[in-house]
Amino acid sequence: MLWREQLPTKPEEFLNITDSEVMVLLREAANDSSKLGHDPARRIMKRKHYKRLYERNPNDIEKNPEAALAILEAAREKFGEEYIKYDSYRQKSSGTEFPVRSRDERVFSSVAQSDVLKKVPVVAIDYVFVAPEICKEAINWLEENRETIISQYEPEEE
Amino acid sequence: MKRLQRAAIIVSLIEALRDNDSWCGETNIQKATYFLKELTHVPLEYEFILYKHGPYSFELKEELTALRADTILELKSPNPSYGPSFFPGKMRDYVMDRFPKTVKRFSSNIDFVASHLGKKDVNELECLSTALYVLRESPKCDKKQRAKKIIEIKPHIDYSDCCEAVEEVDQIVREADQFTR
Repeated sequence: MLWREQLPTKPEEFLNITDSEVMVLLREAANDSSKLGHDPARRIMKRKHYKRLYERNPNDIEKNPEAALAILEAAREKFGEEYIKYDSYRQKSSGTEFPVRSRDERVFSSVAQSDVLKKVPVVAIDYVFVAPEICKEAINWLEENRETIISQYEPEEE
Repeated sequence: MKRLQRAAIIVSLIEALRDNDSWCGETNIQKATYFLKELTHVPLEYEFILYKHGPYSFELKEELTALRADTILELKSPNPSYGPSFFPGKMRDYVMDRFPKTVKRFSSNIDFVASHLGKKDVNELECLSTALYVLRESPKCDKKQRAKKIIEIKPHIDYSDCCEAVEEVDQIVREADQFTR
């Protein structure tokens, strides 16, 4: 099957790929360490998913807005890059700011008119994940070192 | 440049704009950042395109929202008749304390831009920033040709305003010669 190397770009060929074909290839890759994607396939098929080590916490952000990055870097240094994964998301735009026309035809800013809209928080998500085989060790390590890592993290000035 | 390093520049710019009586809405910050990057060569990685009201960076818009999430910036609405304004947030000192060299290195660039743009309203900023965009796109065109190009791009702007903007941009560009790459 050609798409073992590259997914087809023609719609009819692409739609011929079903869950069954995907599952077969996942199983093959999971069982053969020489296959491309062996490690993620193994983790999916054998339920060895990365576990949550750290998630964004408002108290930590008060001390360091890059608390998650601090923990990510320290964890990678301690356990190795292949055991630690990072996921981050910041809301890209806010839908709460728009002009509002009042009954008497005057126009106001929405955030000036609504206390609720004014207080809608901006979504920010940070996760640090750890491979399950070292999960307990990593959790204990983080428990002991969290405060130091977060407070002592100093980004280098380029 | 690191994200928080860029944040230090943005916070400094907002404070400098405020010192120059700017409203500091998103448009003010967008246009000032465009001048900061394009004219004074501050190495900000935001890509600007010509959008509804002149040069605009979606990356910068995302960054401004993200900086609100980290309470480095905050939005307030000092006058309900206008859109909200950006202010430094709770974590302002954290960022400024960690990147003093960056802030110092670009402080004259920031002051230069803020002093030229701070007092301008959004209509003037649209015209002026589009004039700079046209100058960068068509450096060999004379003033009249550039004014006509602005009209082609922004038909709602008066021709006389375009001519004034072209004149003013040329003057600002001459003054900005001090900021070599």
